[in-house]
Amino acid sequence: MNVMALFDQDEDGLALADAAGRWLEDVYSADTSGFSAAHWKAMAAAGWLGLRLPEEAGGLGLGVGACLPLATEFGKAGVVEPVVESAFVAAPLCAKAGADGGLLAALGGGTRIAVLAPSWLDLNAGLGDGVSCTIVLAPGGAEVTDLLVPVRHADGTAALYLIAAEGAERNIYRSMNGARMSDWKTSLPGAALISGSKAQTAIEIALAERAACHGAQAVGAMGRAIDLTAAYLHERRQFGRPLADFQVLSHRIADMTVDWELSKSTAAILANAGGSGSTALTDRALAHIARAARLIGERAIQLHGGMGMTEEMEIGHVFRRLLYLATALGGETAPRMRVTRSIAERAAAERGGIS
Amino acid sequence: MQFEVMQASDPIDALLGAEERAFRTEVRDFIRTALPETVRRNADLGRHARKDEVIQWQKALHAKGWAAPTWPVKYGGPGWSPMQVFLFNLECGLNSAPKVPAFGTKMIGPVIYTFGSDAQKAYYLPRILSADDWWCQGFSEPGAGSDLAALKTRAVRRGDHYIVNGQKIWTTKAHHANRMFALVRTSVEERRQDGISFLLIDMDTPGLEVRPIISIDGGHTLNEVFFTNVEVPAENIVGSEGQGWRYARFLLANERSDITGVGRSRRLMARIRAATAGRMSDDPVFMAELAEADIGLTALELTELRYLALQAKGADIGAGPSVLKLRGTEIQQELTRLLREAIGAEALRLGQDGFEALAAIDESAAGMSEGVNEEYLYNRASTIYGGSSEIQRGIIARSVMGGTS
Repeated sequence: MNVMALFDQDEDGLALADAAGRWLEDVYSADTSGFSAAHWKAMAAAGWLGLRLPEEAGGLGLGVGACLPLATEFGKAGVVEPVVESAFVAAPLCAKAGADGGLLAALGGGTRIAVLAPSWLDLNAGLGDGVSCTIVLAPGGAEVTDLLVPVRHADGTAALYLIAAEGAERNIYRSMNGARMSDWKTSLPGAALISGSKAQTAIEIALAERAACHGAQAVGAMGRAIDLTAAYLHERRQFGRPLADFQVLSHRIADMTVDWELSKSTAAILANAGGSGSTALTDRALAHIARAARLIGERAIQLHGGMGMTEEMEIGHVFRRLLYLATALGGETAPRMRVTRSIAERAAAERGGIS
Repeated sequence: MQFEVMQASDPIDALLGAEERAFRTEVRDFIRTALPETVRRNADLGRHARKDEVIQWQKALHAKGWAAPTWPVKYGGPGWSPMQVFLFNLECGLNSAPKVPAFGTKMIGPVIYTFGSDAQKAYYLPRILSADDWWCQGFSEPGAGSDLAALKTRAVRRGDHYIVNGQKIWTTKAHHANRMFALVRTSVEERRQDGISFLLIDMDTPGLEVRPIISIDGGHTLNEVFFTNVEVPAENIVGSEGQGWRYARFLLANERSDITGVGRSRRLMARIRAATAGRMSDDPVFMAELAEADIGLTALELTELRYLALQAKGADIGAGPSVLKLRGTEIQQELTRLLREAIGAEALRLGQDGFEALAAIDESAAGMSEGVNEEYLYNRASTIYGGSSEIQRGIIARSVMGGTS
């Protein structure tokens, strides 16, 4: 493998994204309810929901990499429907976990929507299957039919459970990205979909793939923030000339662009996180993208002046989306703490020597 | 996609494939054999390499066929891929090899083999490779810094010669150089860029005078160069009269390899870790700032690699070189700042004697980076030269907004 291949974008994925980009620009607008059944149908009809399902389940069997250009378009356009969560993350996990064909077909057709809980649920010693549990910050609202819960038992073994929305108690609320989120109060079913080391691997990959999608979405949203800001600087006039003529403002947009360029590079690490096996790189990539997302959003608001504070301007929506992604990726400080710790450990191991 | 994990060192190492690692090992082994230990050690102390050390190093590279990594094979280049050039630069930096002066191999060499006459190619190119010539760059003038097209140094054709009058400034290592490539005004045109020509000037020509400029680090790197009726043979013009601006733009676009200085920054990182042990590693704020620099450096390295990948496919990277130059120099500056911070109050000492005095009372301090202050001070120039950070931001802003900003 050649390091240059790290930055290759999937050709089929790019073609998909190109077509999707046009539809998103011409037709799509995010429903204020956080989910549009009509849009969801259109997405199912476009085949997006089956991209990652195995061929025997009627899907295309694509890897996450082929879906990332599409995720970038979603980040740019602010798609609120859970395509990434259900089709790109949960569906392939269900398939890997051996879920029944009925579920897979329904996911591909859009009649059921599954999401993966945000993180591991640690079960205390003595508690087993059938335990009641609370899952907070699960993506999606009432449209979600199934929740995947990754569980770590007290002895360290992993398991993946599938919980039906029917019969579960849910509190549904708005999330920073314009979609809906839910806190679930439910109990684990008697049997896990999959458990042991297979579950461990499948769950880790799914979580890494979600981060890869969030990274790609962030790159799309950053680009949108910069485009909107550049357009605004051309359009808005003060002191008899467009804001674009003021050097101090153009240098701010240059700094935003630098952060965006570096984010495209670090997003490629997340895109390959399943393969590089380097937590050192992943932590640095997460640290970089989370901060860049927030900073680009903040600067875009500042450069829009008072208009940036208004709900009617698109930039505010992009800003909230960037904040959502930064937080969902793990925030700014947690990966920094891990990087800091690893540098301190390396310094200690080197004992002041230099080779 | 699977990438093999290398023995843990720097984060980026995890990405290299078997061929890349083999090439890298070959480069590293060569450097460690060919580079005298004292030179390496001096660099790690923050001292500039001496002129003879730089020349000796370039001659060693030349003997190996590696003096000009980016040149075409027919002019003496090694025929490396951009990735190999990247790895070569990385290893040179990581192993504290002296920086081979960019003026010869990276700047004037490509101009000569692209625009020069056959005679110029035959004469100058081998001398650049063998380090028989040390070139300096005569671009900036007192009235023409970022606004380079404002340059005033005149060259008037008289018979077989140009008569050059004027002044250049910030001429790096002109006191080491025996040749200069210079931008001179050969005519006054409506568009300022149009009357500029590109001349090759011998530094020992009568009427040419080099005066040192001592910089804030106390060192002598920079110079002023004065021209009083300096006679330059007409055959020393590169290409055609009035086309100098074009060649200069080509030169600046070509200077970009190793623009980020990632290898040197990784070495600085290692020196900071070494200085940190037992001193600063309990200081969470210092360690967090060091981590931040590492995060930025990693993002930058990845971006340099991404641009290489794009260029390998024939894609245009737009303002990419400005992105790399801007962020690369900021990180270098940040690392030299952290190196000062890492040695705490000892950073009050300025110069070698102060650190020798320290070593006399504390043996463990021997080998402490005695040049930290000089290195930090000298590095302030990195965001000024080669197009200041403000110029780079202007270029990047234009790439997203269009127009003139």
